[in-house]
Amino acid sequence: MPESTDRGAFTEAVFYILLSLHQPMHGYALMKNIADLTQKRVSLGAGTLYGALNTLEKKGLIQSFEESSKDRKKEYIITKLGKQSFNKELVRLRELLKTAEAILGGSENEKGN
Amino acid sequence: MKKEIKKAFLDFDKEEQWLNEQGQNGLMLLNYYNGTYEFEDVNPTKYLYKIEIPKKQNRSDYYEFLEELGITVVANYAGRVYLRKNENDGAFDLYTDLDNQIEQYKRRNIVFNSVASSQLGAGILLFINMILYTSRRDAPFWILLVFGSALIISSITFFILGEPIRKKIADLKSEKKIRE
Repeated sequence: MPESTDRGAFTEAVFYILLSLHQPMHGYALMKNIADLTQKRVSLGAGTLYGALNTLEKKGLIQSFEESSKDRKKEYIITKLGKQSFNKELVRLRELLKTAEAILGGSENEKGN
Repeated sequence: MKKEIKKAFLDFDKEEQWLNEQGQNGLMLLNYYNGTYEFEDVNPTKYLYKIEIPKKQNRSDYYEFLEELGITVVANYAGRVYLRKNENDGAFDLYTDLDNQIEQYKRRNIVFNSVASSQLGAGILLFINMILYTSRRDAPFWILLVFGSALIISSITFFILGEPIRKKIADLKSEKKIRE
């Protein structure tokens, strides 16, 4: 694999999109799912979601298909490459947390100050 | 009951705000063209509105996506698109990330800048004509002077009106340095 920009952090939007798309979903369900997962903390705007889905599809991390011939709604699902990238991101995030907790002494410290 | 309102806005944010006030009063926007807003009174249903300058590519695909999310594309006018959502279907956000927000404000800024610079160019052209081709203080001299000055004043006005947009872009960019 070439030296790439593959090492950077995902945006929160991308993180939750890839997490949600481990099951196939169309746009509306995806948006609702992300809001539910985060108790509405992350609620993606329609344009932001559209842009992110297009970029992820172009990069081969997700793919789209038409759900049924009737309503022609587009559904999206994560690809193998997408799963690999997502797992890498999980490793990065775990390391981040581990480092912070090692220095600050775990979660009890969050209540302090 | 249908209702037509004629109104002109220079500021997108103010136009959006005004539309949302109408939406809170149960007015559903049906169409917009050349300063005329066509509403239908559907009180007590309330509507939320957004105005966007969409990208040129894949517009129909984007509009289809919006429709799937319960957002109606009401009108497409002079590069702007008027979007409507029923308030019962939840909050209406288009861009929740900084990159996209910056891009939207940049596109609005381009509108102001292109108006300002074309007026400035035309104004200067009239002044050049005035200097080169009028020697006496006759009618052509005064016509060129008045219209030239008007264009230049108008271009300066547009430039000043664009200032809040540039400020907004700068704020968002500095925010982006520490947050996604």
